[in-house]
Amino acid sequence: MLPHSMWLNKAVEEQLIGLRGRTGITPNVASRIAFFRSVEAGFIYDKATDHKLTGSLKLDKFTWLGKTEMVTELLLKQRYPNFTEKELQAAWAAHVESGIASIRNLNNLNSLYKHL
Amino acid sequence: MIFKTLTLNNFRVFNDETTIDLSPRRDGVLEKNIILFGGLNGAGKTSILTATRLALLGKRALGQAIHKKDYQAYLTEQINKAALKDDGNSSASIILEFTHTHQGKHNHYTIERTWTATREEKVTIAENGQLDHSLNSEQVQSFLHELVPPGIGDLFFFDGEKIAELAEDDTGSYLKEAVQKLLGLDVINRLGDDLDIYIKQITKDTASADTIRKIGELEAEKAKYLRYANKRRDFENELNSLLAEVNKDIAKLEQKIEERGGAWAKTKDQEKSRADDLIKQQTKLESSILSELSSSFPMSLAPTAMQNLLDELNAEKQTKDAKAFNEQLVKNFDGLQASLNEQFSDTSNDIMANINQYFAKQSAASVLEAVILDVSDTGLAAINAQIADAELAKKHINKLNTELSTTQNELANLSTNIERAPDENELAELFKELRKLDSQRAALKTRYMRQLLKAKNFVEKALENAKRLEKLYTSQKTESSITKAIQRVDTTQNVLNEFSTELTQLRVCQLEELFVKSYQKLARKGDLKLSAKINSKTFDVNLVDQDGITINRKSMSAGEKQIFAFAILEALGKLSGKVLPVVVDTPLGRLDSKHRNKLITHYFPEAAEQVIILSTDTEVDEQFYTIMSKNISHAFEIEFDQETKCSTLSEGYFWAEKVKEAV
Repeated sequence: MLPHSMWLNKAVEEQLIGLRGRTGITPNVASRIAFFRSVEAGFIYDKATDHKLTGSLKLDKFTWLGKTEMVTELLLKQRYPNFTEKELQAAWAAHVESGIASIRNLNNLNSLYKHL
Repeated sequence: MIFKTLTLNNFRVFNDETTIDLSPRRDGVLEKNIILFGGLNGAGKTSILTATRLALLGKRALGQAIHKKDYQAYLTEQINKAALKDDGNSSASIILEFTHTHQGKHNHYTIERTWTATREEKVTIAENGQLDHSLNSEQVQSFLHELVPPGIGDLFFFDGEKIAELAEDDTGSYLKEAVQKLLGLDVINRLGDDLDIYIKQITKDTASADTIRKIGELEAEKAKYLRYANKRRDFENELNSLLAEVNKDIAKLEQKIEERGGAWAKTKDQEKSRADDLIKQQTKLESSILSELSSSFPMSLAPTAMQNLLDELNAEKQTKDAKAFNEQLVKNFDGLQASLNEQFSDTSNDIMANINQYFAKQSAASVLEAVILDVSDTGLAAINAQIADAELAKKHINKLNTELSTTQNELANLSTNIERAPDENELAELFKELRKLDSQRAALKTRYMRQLLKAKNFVEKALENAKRLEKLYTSQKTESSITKAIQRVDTTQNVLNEFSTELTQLRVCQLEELFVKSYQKLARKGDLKLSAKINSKTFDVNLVDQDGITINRKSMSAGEKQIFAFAILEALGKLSGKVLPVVVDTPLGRLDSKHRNKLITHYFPEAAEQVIILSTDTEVDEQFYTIMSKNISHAFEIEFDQETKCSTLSEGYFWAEKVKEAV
């Protein structure tokens, strides 16, 4: 399923770091929230768009996903049953990018809630 | 007034009753006025003078203010010692008979004074032989004082030696009363006194003048108090304005403090610590939220997707179960076929085919289903649990977030408050100033109250005075009629005073003239150019020589003084117009022959209608007796008996008999 080590698009990574600075939410937690939001929103990754993974924050899978690991992998597999490992990572990164868009500019933790 | 007889009973040296005939005798048509008594020292000459004085003057013979007790003691002393020795209760008496022209009527009076050592004197008067019972002793004495005023008595009945005091006296007190009496000034004074008494009677409570004075005083006092009160009020106003100023300052300062957020300052520390707490709380909540976020929470964000996933997983499970059942069934088919063959040999194949057909149909659907996700049963259970967790986490975050927002709101408010709170040091300065002003205000208030109290006090006093004044004024109203009387009396008294002054002036001038005349008559030739100056106020008599220089009387000799006194007496006697006998004791004691001569030739014969001279043999010796003889009515000789310690009187003079014989 997903590879052991994962990273994101550079721009997304910067957004996550910025968000951590303002709200204290670490990038991995923020990326989880972003992922589920994008799944719920019905986002589907298109292999053709070739999502570039240019980030430098390379963490292992468990750190990125935490308790949501199993569910995240199942959801990805449910949506993209024929993807390769690499393709699934790209799909995950794309989901994170899509989900982060609406919460990347939050100023504090409190305002986060209103957007969820 | 002419003395007729003098009767002495147990009086001093005279034991028993001794009657002396004093009426001047006539020699043809010529009336002789001198009655001469001769006696050695201690014979009883002074007793006769004293008896005369006592008879007429009573208590006043001894001086101006003699106590009754002293007078009684004196009288007791005058009782003849021999008589007293015989009988302690023996009475003494003096009887004086005289004629007097009173109120145009020529009357004959007999005065009798009787007393013993224990009983006080009794004075009776008989007018023309008729004893007046209606008068008591004191009334008799008053009557006598009218006839012979005490001040004058001293001038007519005197001791020649003592009279020299008159000349020595420069205070005028000796002459004052006498002169006033003689010149009738006492009548004016008495009128003044009577008016005073009248005033005192009509103004029962207080003299009107006194009331007026009191009113004046009270008015002044009241005005003073009111002035004081006003002064206090001024102070009060001053303090009040100061107080208002301080109050204004305080208000200003309070406003300033308010502007700086004084109210916030009070709670600043508290709020700061509260803020600290809130910040801690906030951090705690945030970390809680973060930890919840990092749990299964994100799953709750995608409920639809999650449901889809679960559905698929359940479907897969069913498929997997069906497949497993089929496999299990297929495995058991051989055993089933063998068992069927034994029991149903003939129909076993049919049954088997039937069963195969049924299960093939049953399993065909599930075999078609692909198992993609392939989650184990435990995995599915875990997912279910996670989803439940996520829901819980969502609720928890919800709650935490509410708390966080409350905390943040509070913190925001607190921050504002803390921001509003002014700098403590600056405020401290203002508060210090405020306290200073407060204490200033308190001090001012106390002072103000004090002034207020003082003013009140003064006003109260003024009111008190006003009350008293009102009382006085009402009493004044009732006195208004009296006031008129008082005014009249005042006017009268003024007039009287003026009259008295004028009269005194006039009388004094006359007295001066008479005195000079007398003095020139009695003095030696060298003194003839002297004149007299009498002070009309003090009645001090001074001699002024020809050069206008006042002669110091103290430097005069005793004899000169005596002459001086005689001159005054004669002048006074003439001026008074009183017709009184003159009784002189030891008249010539200190005089030289020239002065004696003058006195004998010029004074005694002219002094009065009746002149009683009490002298020793050296004073009026043969030579003088001869000179005076034409004026001597008759003479007595007093002899003192050493054995009986009593004197007896016999008519004639020491050598009179011889003279008579010779004549």
